[in-house]
Amino acid sequence: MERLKGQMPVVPDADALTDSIMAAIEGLDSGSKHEESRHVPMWITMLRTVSSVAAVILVALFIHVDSVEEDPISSEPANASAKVIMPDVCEECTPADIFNIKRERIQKRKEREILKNKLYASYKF
Amino acid sequence: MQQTDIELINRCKAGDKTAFRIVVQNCQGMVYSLSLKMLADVEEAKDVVQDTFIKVWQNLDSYDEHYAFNTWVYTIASRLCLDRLRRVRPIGPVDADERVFETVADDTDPERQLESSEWVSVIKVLADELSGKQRLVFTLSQLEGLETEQIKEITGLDADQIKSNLYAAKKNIRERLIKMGYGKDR
Repeated sequence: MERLKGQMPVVPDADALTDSIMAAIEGLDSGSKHEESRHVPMWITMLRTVSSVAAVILVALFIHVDSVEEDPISSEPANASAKVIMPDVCEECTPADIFNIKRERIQKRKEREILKNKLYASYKF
Repeated sequence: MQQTDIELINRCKAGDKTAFRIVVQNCQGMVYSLSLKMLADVEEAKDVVQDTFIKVWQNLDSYDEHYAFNTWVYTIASRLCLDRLRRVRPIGPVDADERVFETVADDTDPERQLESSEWVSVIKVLADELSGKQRLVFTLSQLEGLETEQIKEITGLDADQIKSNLYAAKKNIRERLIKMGYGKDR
C-alpha cells in the first residue's frame, strides 16, 4: 500500500483531453452568447402577458353571461307562447337570435313537462 | 501537488482562456488520478476531468483565494465522483483484475509506476465493497497522500468522521486481502 501512496497514473493522451476540455468551454461560451442573442424584448413579453390575461377574462365573461341567460323562469315573459317560432338552423342569426332560440326551446320543454304532469295527474284519478 | 499561481487564476477570472489552458494542463493529472482511483474506469475518469474543469470555469468567480486552488478543484472533482458512484455502481473485480493485482503486489520494484489499466484492476480488487465516503477518504488519504486538514476541506467531514471512515475502509480491505491469501507474512 505504501508503494501506491502518492503515485499518479499518467493521463492517456493528455493533450487531447486538454483540447476536449477547452473545446467544451468554447462551446459553453458560444452557447451562452447564442442565448443572449435570442433575448426577447421586454415589451413583447408584457404584450403576451396582457393579451393572455385579456383572453382569460373574455372567456370567463362569456361563460358567466351564458349561465345567466340559461335561467329559464326569471327572465321569461308571461306571454311566451305568443312568440314567433324561429327555425332550428338559422344561417344569418345574430348572437341575440341564438339566445332567443335557446330561451324558446327551454320554454317549450317546460310546457311539455307541465302537459305531461297534467296528463299523469288526470290518469291517476 | 502543484500550487497554481494566483495571477494565473486572476487572468482566468478575467476570461483569459490561454491562462485557463495552463491551469487545465497543470491540474488535470491530479483530477484524473483522483477520479480514476474513485471510479476504477478510464473513460468515466476522463469524463469527470472534463466536467470538473467545466465547473471550475463556470464557478471561478466564487473561488475564494484564501483557500488552495488545488483543494478547491479536488472538492469539485470528489463531488462529481460521488455523484457518479451514486448513479452507477462500479463493476466488481473479475479474475483478470485479481491476476493483475497479484502481479502488482508481487512486484518488488519500488520505482514501478502503474499504468491506468493496472490502477483500475487494483482499485476494483481493493475498494469493491467500500461505500462512496469510505472510498473517497481512503483514496485521498492512502492513495493520494493528502493531510487530514486537506481531506477535511475537500470532503466537509470532521476529523472523527474521517477517522471512522478510514478505519472501516482499511478493515474491509484487510479482510479482503486475507481472503485472497495475503496474510501478514506476505
